[in-house]
Amino acid sequence: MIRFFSSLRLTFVLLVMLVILLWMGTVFSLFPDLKDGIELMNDVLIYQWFFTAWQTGWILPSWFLAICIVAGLLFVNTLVCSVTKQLVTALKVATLRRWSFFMVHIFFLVVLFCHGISLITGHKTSNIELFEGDTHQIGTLTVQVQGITFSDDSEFLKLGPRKSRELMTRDKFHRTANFAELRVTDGDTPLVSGRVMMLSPLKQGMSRFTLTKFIYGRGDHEGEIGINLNVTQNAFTQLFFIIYALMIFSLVCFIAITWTPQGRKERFHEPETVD
Amino acid sequence: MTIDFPLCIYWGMAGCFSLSLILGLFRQRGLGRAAGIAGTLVSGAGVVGLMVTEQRFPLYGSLESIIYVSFLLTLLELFAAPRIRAGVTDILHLLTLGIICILLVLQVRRTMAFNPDFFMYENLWVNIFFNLRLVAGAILAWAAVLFLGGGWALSKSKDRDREARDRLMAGGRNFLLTGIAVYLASEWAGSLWCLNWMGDSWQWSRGFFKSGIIFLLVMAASHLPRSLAASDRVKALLGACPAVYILWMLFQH
Repeated sequence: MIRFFSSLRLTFVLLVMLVILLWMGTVFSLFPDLKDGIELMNDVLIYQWFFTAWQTGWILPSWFLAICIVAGLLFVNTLVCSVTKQLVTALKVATLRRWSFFMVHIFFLVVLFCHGISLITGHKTSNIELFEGDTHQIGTLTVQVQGITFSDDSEFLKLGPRKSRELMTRDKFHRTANFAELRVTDGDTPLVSGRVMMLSPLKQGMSRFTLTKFIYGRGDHEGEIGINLNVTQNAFTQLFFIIYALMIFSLVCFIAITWTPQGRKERFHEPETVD
Repeated sequence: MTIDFPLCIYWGMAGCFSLSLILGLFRQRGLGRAAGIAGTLVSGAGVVGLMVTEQRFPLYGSLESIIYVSFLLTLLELFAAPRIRAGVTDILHLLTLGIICILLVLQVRRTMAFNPDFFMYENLWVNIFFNLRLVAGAILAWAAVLFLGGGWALSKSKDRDREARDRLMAGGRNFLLTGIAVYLASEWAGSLWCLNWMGDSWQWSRGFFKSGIIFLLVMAASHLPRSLAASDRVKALLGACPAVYILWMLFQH
């Protein structure tokens, strides 16, 4: 069993399967219905989406499940290979090259873990449309929009995404001149209040209140400028970015250490060199 | 009459690089190299011109991607080619020019303008994300040149080519890993951008799937089972796949 799960052949097969699955995702997004379904995956935590999506169709949930299974197997494969082969070899003859090779894989495992766990833990509510004076309740939290300031020409808000993208140049849209004032309370206790701009969310602990875009009001809010807000909370986000950076750093160290052929065999598929 | 700067750069590059390719094919080494260096200078002028006129780094869009990637790829060919005999470096030169000329041909019927401005281009993470993605594209393309040179142009040659072949394959491996390190740095910045823009470091979307494929292709090429790794040609082809995919992604986006 250990031999099977630590095999390089399994790694290669799983990687190719993941390439095929992600490629299928790019094909799915060419079909409007499936594209909409994929976009819904971003609105809530993924397990919440998964159970809802099963009720409306099988293609996307099955595809997502296949990604999870293959990624899970890759995690196990990397873990078993790292411990039973790379670590053992590094302990036997401790060289910088072997330890750096081991560390790249360990950081990769932690990144994969953080990525997976951040998809299923915490909280996520997306596309909350709010106008000045509106409040929105999320569990015990209350988000109140105390004010919206939009200094630039609001005409492009009436256009479609592609057209408005063309008009939102640095000259015409001044990011810091357009913002909303938010006040967040937990029950009666004020948590945080402040200005939220595009690319500058309001943060409170692990919670983020992110202004994704400004919207032009319709119906009751005709002519008003509103905001589209995403509320997210995740304990693993910071760890994910730190470990991700460390993984890149360890990879750079590994490349530097093994740059010249001396000290390593002339094969670039490394796992076999540590057998 | 105003001069269309991007169009001038495009045709300048097309003229220099295609001339260099033709001269190279007819074994006119000196003139061919001179035309290639002229092409590098023209694409470099394009990069500087873009930075002056648009007040930003090269980021996105097929024309500016071609100009920037060609500039970096030819710089890599000039300064990072392994020191091996002239015949082999000529092959690398031709492969590099071949890639650039294919990209220039693909651009012919596309818009000959730099990518339109966007307010997010003032953001540091956006700049790092898009710019390093192009840098990674150039490095992965150079890895592909080394792999294809080692695995295909020399693999059936005589014993005297063995050392050159090994050096090219080792160089291909080094630049493949360097390319993915730069690409991951770009993705790291992109995830931070996504976090600040959408509240989450990952979005399920076409762009994200394509980004993931690049990383997986490099991982697959670096984790070949023994049966596949025994062949230099297979290693070379799989090592070149990430470059083909990232260039396609940059120009078809």
